[in-house]
Amino acid sequence: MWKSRSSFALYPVSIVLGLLAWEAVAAFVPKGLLAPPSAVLGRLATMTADGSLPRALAGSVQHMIVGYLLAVAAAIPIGILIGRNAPVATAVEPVLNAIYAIPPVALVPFFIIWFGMYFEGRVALVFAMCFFEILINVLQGARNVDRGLVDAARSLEASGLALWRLVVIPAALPFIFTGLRVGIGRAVNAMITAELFFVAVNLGQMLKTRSNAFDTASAFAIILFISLFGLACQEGMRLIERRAIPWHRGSET
Amino acid sequence: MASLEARNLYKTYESRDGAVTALEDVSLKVTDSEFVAILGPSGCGKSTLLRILDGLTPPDRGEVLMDGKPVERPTQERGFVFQSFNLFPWRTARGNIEFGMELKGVPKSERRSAAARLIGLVGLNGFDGKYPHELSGGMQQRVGIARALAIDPAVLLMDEPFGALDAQTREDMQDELLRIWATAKKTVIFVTHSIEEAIYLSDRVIIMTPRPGRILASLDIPFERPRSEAHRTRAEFSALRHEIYSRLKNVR
Repeated sequence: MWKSRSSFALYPVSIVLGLLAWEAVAAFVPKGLLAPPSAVLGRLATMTADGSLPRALAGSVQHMIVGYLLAVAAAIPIGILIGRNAPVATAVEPVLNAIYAIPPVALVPFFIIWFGMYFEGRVALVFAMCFFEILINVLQGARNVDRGLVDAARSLEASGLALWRLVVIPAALPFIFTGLRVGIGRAVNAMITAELFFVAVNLGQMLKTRSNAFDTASAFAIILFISLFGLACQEGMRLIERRAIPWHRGSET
Repeated sequence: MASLEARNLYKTYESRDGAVTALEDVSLKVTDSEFVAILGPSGCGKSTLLRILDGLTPPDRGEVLMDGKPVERPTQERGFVFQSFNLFPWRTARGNIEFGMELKGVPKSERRSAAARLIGLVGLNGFDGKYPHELSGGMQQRVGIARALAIDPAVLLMDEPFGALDAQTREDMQDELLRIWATAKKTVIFVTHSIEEAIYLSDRVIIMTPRPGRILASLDIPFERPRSEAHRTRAEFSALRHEIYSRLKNVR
């Protein structure tokens, strides 16, 4: 209790101290190299108020949402099938691990060949960057379904589809939600990566133009905006998780 | 009415130290409304036997007959209560109890009233909306018993159901079970490694020995019902306990 209260107090203190240190360092550095936090926050406020940041975000989220949803739609069924099928898992896991080890950005040249430099290419990169994160979590969840729960359901004469629907999937839900939460963080990451590595548009374009102009205050403001957006996405997912699986809280023993 | 019979069951497991004979030529017959305890040390195959009786695990050889018909898979004619409760954590107490009825397509209103009656029977009034992690071990097993009873089985199979509970809760639950049994009138097969629990609860104790798992003896328990604390302190009770104890000791 004491620990959590004191860490709550420390949280804003450390942020304020960090900002003060940054401000102090920036005072001695040319503006084009490092903007002070006061200027960054000022730019963040103006660029939000004049609508330029929200407009760019509205463009960016399109490929993020499409790529993320495609990844979710593919990773959940594939993860459950692999996780519940030991021979299949043995066969495909080495391949999956090999693909997982590739940095998705290394695939950008191929994505350009296969999907072009625009929307489809960006969607492909978002998909590639979050699919495996989600898949691995879903797979673990499906694999770790408590055998005792399956026995309990079978003893009540559940079999076939009912066993999947009423036991395997609900039992895997906490892992699935972890996958969704980790995955959306990756999707935000991929959203910007795609706009920097393909044709620069939306937030990525703004970020490129501002840094090329040595307008570090604006560039940092854009980065901060993206980071806050990513945080909001993950917190939103956590909220959905709490609503969807209220039984999970406190059941981790 | 309901009888459950095992004929010449064999079961061998592969383990790291080679093949383990869990059951060797095990036969038994349990008849209507009887309360039978299967007693033996851990590793004697008694849980395996119970799982085979339910149809959860197939035997290598031999067969199980319920009212003369072979048992090949679990059905709602038999209910199973697990040592580790195995409640569905995403369902409330009521939701757990209704699981078997849902599978059979029982209408919601009917399920609700049946669940309410069972919640009353197992003494959980007011806890029907709680999730398993919000309940104590004893309460969780009450839900486990109600869930097994909800499918109205003729036979209740119980696998060390109170083994995970503390001593005090365990004795309370034994009395609760006898009270429920007197109301529900089911045939009960109760697996335990506690000699005292076996004597206190049952009409008959079947003693098993390990490696290979075999039935050593079957003893009738002569005490009248209803049973109470007073039975535990009787001279005959201690004599029985001693007899079973020395029999188990001699085979080791």
